[in-house]
Amino acid sequence: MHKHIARLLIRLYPRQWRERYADEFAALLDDSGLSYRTAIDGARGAGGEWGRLISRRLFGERGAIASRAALVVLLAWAAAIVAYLFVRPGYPLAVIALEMFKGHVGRAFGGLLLVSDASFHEAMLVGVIGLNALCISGPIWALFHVSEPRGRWISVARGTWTVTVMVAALWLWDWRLALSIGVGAYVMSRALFPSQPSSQSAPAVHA
Amino acid sequence: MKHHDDELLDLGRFSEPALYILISLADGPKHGYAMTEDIAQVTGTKLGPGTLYGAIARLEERKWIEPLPAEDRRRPYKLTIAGHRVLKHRLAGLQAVAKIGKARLADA
Repeated sequence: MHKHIARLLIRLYPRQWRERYADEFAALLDDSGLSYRTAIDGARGAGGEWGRLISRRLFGERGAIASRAALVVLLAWAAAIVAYLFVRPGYPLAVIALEMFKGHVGRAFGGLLLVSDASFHEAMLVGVIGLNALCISGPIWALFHVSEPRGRWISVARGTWTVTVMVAALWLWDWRLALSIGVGAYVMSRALFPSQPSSQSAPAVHA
Repeated sequence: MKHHDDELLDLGRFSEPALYILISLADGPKHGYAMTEDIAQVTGTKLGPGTLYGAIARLEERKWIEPLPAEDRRRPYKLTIAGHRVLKHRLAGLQAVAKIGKARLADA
């Protein structure tokens, strides 16, 4: 029973932490015994390690770039909504959200690409669709890149981004445009969601 | 330029456990369990495993302590030169505060 709880406690910690400290942590639990107080302290420690890992990823060297990019996306998203509200005053947000996912966006993609009859707010909506795709796949990347730097979830994030943009293009225009936009979106996703593992690894152990 | 004692305070809720660990390692390398026992004896505070390893990870990250080869599953840690300097500055700061506190108590 003790071993099961100890193992469960260790499983709560991030993988990088476990690779470095799991053995000695388990030895400490064996030596000091497991009470509900040590279990609570261990679980609290796991929360702290996740917090440390996430903040390092968000505000560390590469993380800072991703955070700034995320901030830019959020600001752009907010700007698009505000601009749309300005163009179409009196529209409640719920209606605008519905319109973004319905046919109202109509010729927006074509309008943007062919510079034909897209109005200002239609062009803004195209941006909003792209940003929506980013808002879906961005958090997937941010959340799972932390625990799975080897890239399984990064593929999911890239796939989500690409498919969302493609479906939007297909819905709005035709399959050729959707295909070319999909290829472009996938290329862009490689830049948006890099799969290279973080350089911030566990400290080296002196042999 | 930051003072070394401020650096220790930067560890937030781990600053006190981290200070205890540095004090515990000041007289030689110890592994996790030996540290908790020593700290309990010296300070009367029993550090939980999450708190202990939370502080160890932060101290190791700052290179104030360093791991030695594991003995069985237990890995001892030793104080580094940087850790020694941080501890010295922190203790000097505490000593100055204690001195003022004592003097004020004596005046009261």
